[in-house]
Amino acid sequence: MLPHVLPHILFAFLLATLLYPAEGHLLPFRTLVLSVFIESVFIIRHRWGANKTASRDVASVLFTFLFLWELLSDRLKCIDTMLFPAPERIFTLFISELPDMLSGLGGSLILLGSGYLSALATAVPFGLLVGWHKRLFNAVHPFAKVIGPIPPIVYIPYTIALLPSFRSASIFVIFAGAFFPLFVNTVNGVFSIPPALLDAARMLHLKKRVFFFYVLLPGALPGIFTGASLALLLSFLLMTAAELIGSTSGIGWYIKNFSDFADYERVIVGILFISIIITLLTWLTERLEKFLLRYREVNND
Amino acid sequence: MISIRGVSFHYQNGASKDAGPAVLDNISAEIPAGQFVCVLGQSGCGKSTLLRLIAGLSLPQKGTLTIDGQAVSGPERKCSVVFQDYSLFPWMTTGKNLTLALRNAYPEKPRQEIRRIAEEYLAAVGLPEKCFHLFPGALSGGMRQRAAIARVLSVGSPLLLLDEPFGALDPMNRLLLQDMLVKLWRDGGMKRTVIFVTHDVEEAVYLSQRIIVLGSSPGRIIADRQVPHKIDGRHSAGDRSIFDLPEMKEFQNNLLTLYREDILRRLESGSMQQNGTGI
Repeated sequence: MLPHVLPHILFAFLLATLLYPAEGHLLPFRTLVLSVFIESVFIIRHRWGANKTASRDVASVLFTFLFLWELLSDRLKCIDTMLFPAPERIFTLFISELPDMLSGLGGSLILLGSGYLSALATAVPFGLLVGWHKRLFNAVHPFAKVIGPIPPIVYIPYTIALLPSFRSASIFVIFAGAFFPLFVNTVNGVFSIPPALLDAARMLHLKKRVFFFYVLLPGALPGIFTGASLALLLSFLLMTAAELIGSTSGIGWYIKNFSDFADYERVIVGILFISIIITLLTWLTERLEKFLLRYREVNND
Repeated sequence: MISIRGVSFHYQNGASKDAGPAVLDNISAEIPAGQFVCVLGQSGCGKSTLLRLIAGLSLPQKGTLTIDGQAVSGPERKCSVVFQDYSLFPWMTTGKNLTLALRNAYPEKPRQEIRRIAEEYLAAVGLPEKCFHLFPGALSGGMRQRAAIARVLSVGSPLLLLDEPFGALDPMNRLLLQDMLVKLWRDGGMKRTVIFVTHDVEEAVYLSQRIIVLGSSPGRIIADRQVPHKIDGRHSAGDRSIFDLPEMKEFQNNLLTLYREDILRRLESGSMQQNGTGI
């Protein structure tokens, strides 16, 4: 029975710690709200969700983390509060800094979008062609093998020197970083189409265009999505890296800037914000994947 | 009219360009238009390869293969193929699988007409209307093969090649689909040639007018027989009483003996190779 109530016990511990009165200590209102929110989401998911064990485990980890954080930083004061501020401090700052961070985010996302989408628009068609034509594959494969593994971060200083503006340089680096995972996985996606299915397509004598859009592209789509989520993470990484190096705005710059002033509270807030944005983007990609590949969920063999 | 003359085939051994073991050796046969032929043989005897050669999916190293006097040099326009599995594209609905093929075959027809034809053929193979909007993955194996057959019939090719289409089905569905196939072939407005690959003697006897038995390693014709008691060369679908006729029994036993001898011979030579696509 213990595992079933463990999250609730941990929640109670957390609440007790948060509410415990101390001199000069204000009620950590935002941390309380967050904890209660997590508890209610957990109760709902535990009652109606599919995977009860997982939701119990996740809730337990979250409560333990918040509990230890609050206990070590604000209560026992045994860790440096300059590097590890109390949760309440971070959450308060997160809310007050949100407008600033959001306004920086717009520029960052335009960078990310231009690089990522142009990689998508070139790597996928090129990957389909290369995956389908054996001769083209044999010609391109050695080059992809050599250029592909170069960490795209090494292009940053060079492209900043090479291209006229910081914007164009970072867009190019994001493009270069997103291109290879997309390209390689698109080619693999074509290779993973069952040969009999391609034979069936050949016997339908489809026109080239129809064959590409209705057979090759959807057939390679599982591979394309593998590449797309990899490329998304990589281009997000490159975007922040590029901003750390050469930008005067954006979310990467935000972290770099405050870290220069030793304002680690805002650095942590920035990291928290980035993690929320990347989680959101990944979630959106996964939803799209689930929708476009919904045919795989109906198998009743 | 398909004529196969002295056709041999072997797979190339990768980069070395050495000839692999022969899959098919000196196959010759003439198949007149409108005939229902079964190619019978054990796993790996090259019967699927023979079908691929006729379809133009592979080309023979030796011999000639012509359809209506024209040499087969690539995926053949007169042919439609149904495989054991993987005939329908899993990422489009069953209906879309048909309309895609139909739009490609009849580019001049309006959309509504295409859709009507697709629905008609799905109904003809006994699929309920709602299947039109379902993904193939949501259908049972038998329903999927019905849909695949509906697709090849709908595009109107004069030559149907079926590669163990009922191989993965349970016995009951198998019988139902055999009946359906014979009925559609017999009553269809079009006189179609059917080449049906199977390893099941009873299936071959029930379905076809003529049986070509392939022996294995290398694949070669060991028998080419007309099936007795097919009225006007055709029989009434659903009538399995033909199996009770003494002449039919003898014919079937004859084939089984041939078939068994080939399997035993191959087991003794110890050269079981599984390089065919069929099972």
